[in-house]
Amino acid sequence: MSDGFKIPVWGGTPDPFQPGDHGGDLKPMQYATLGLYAFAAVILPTYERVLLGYGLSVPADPQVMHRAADGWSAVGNGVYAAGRTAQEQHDSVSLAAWQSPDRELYGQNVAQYAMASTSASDSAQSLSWLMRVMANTWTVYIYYHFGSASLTMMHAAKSLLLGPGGGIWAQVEAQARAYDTTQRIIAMRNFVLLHVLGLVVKWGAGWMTDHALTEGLKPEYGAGGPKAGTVEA
Amino acid sequence: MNHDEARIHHLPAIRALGDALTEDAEGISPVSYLDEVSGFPQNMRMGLWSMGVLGFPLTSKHDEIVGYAERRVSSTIEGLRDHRDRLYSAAGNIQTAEKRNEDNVRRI
Repeated sequence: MSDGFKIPVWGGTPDPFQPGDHGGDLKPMQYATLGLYAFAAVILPTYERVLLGYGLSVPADPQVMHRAADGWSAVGNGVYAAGRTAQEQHDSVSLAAWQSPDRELYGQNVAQYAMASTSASDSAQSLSWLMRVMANTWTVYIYYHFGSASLTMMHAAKSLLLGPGGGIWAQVEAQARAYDTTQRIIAMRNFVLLHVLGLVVKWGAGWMTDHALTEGLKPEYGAGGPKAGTVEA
Repeated sequence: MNHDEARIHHLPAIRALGDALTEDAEGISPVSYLDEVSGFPQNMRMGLWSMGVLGFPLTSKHDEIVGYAERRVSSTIEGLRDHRDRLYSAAGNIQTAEKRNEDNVRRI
């Protein structure tokens, strides 16, 4: 004996219709269950996407990003001031007072250091600007998902109340029937292309951002590993 | 002719240049600026999960970059101190060489 879901068949064994019990026919209930499953198959993907999208973004705190941006600003200013001061100190040594044989070389080193600190400072400043933009975008995103999730919840509640006979079901069916097979394949191809291209563009943008922002910050290990106590780069 | 004026290298100036890199006798030195910056704020690192699961790539990259910057600043401070030491030892070498030259001239 199994209690699992069975579609009743007229004249099968056992016959679901027992003349002895009054109104003991389970067919309406079983059809309702089947409808509920189909309904869940249509509604759940949307519901899951929106709910998970919202749920995964819940711990985000834009203030954390604003604080990090403040930190980057401070780092940029300090590094810039250090480079400028070093260059001024170098320039303020008069030629008569200091005639080192490798003065030219040292001057080149200082100029290089000042340029490197300027570029590192620029990196830090643009990073802090990016963090601020992202913090505000993130806030908008969070509020958008608040709204979107409430709308979806309302939608889901209405669908549950109306059931398979309701307007939402008909809308989904009409949408599916409007396309023939060719059109469906074209729609699917467009969908896939859009998402693959989106991924490529996002990966490229990420690579470019990383390259641009860490230019003065990433250590470049040449042959023989990092050299201790070098000011260059 | 004054003995000091005859020198090619002005040793106090070389040492003063080294000091100017690391000490605050005349204005704030580069090392002081960097020292002040190298104490990164406590909340500079965002934490890997502060933007949720979807924000993990961003926060992990950000914290990586914070590490780069910290290492860069501290290695620059080390490098400037090394430069000061090198300037001092160059001044010392020049002094020794001059002393030897004087001794040789006297002996000849």
